[in-house]
Amino acid sequence: MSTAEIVKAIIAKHSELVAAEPGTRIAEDSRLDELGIDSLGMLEIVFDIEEQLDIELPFDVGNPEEYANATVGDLLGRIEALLAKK
Amino acid sequence: MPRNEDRRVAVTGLGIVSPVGSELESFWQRVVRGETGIKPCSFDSSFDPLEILAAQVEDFDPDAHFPARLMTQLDRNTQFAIVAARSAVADAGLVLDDDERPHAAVIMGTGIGGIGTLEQGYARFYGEHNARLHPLTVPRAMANSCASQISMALGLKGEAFAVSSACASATHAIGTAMRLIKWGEADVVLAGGTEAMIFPTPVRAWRALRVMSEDGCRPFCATRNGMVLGEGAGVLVLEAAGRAHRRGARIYGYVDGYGATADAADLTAPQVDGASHAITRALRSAGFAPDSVQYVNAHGTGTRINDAVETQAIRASFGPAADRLMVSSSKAVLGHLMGAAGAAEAVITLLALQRQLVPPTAGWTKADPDCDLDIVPNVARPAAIRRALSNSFAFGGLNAVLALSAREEVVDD
Repeated sequence: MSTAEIVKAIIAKHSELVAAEPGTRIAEDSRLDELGIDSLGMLEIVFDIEEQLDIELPFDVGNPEEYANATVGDLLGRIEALLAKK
Repeated sequence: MPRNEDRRVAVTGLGIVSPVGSELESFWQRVVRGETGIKPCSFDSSFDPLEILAAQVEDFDPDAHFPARLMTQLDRNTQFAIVAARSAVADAGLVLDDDERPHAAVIMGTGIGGIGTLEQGYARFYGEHNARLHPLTVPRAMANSCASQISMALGLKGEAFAVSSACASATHAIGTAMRLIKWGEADVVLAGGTEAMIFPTPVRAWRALRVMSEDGCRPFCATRNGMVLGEGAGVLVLEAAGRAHRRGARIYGYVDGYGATADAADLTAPQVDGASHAITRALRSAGFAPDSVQYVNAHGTGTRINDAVETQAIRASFGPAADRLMVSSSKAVLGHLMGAAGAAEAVITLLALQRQLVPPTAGWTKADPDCDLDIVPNVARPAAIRRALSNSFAFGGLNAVLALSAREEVVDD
């Protein structure tokens, strides 16, 4: 699986929207909050990503500006930058 | 104090998750038949493989009860608690309107909370040398998680908290809940207890105390040699009798009194005085004369000391009436459910009052002069029982006793 596929699968696992509507597609321009991901869900997403990709992903979920307006693509961009530095 | 019938505390719903089943009727049948849930359990470890006796909850599939997204929030003890609470509410046919939810309370007992979650964290850190712990370790392990998650699952917004007093936790919780209703602070309270600590390290910690039996739990029997760990949850729906009557609820019985004391003596050894004073307080709190009580569901752990001390405490509180009492322990069937024990045993005592059938002390083979009460050995006994007690005596010297009565019981003032 590509990094994008791994990350989307993790996001789907924690999305209230996907739980309610299983067919929902996770697109790069999907906003995390609109996918029904709250701060606890975001914590779990960060944890799962760090576990599966073996990176440290700095992400201040206590700061709404860090994630509330972020899209899946924004998150992926950060992850790919970190992976490139490895 | 004149008794206010409207504020008498009716029990209208019972929910259970136990080593002998999580459906009320089959649970009761196994208790009555003395069919134990205690079995050999293996705890594999490369350096210390161990097989012990324990009473585990089997056939409990968390996926059948909770969506995957919620599961990471729920320790096993909290899963048990929520399932028992939902069962109790369904059993009660309880429907709360928007004016009632803000006052509906939740009081849950647990001896130790989410110790399984903590163990996973320690295993990861010390065992696997992985410093990245799951982000929900803290809210999952916290002792109040059971009360919090029940309040969230059922939308109950009144007073909610967890009580911790080891093996007496659930009895303290139910007693405190009784007071809330009697004092007019709440009309509906979900109260009980939960515990899940049959994991590799807690099991070894229990063994280190040398109170565990290697061949079975035999309360009040001359051959008894220790307790057996169990796990599970019990939740009671307590309701102001006025509300229960107005909605035509089925009433199992009433929680009429509660007594609690501390031994202020030894950390683990039970004391006759502390236990007896708790029994006497419960009787007085309910206005029960000793000779008006027919049945005591004993703490009856199956250790040498508990059962002998409990016998003396019952004799001290009941005097000559002790010779006419039926006294049985459910722990030979359930194992010791720790923070849930008082709830499971209150459920059993209420069913005994409802069905007019005294459950037996299972596993009993030989009389012990130190336990010279009518302990209803091995076979359930149909009997006219109007009033009963449920005893819990905890490590730390904390004692709690509930005084319960049957549905038709007329209380004399």
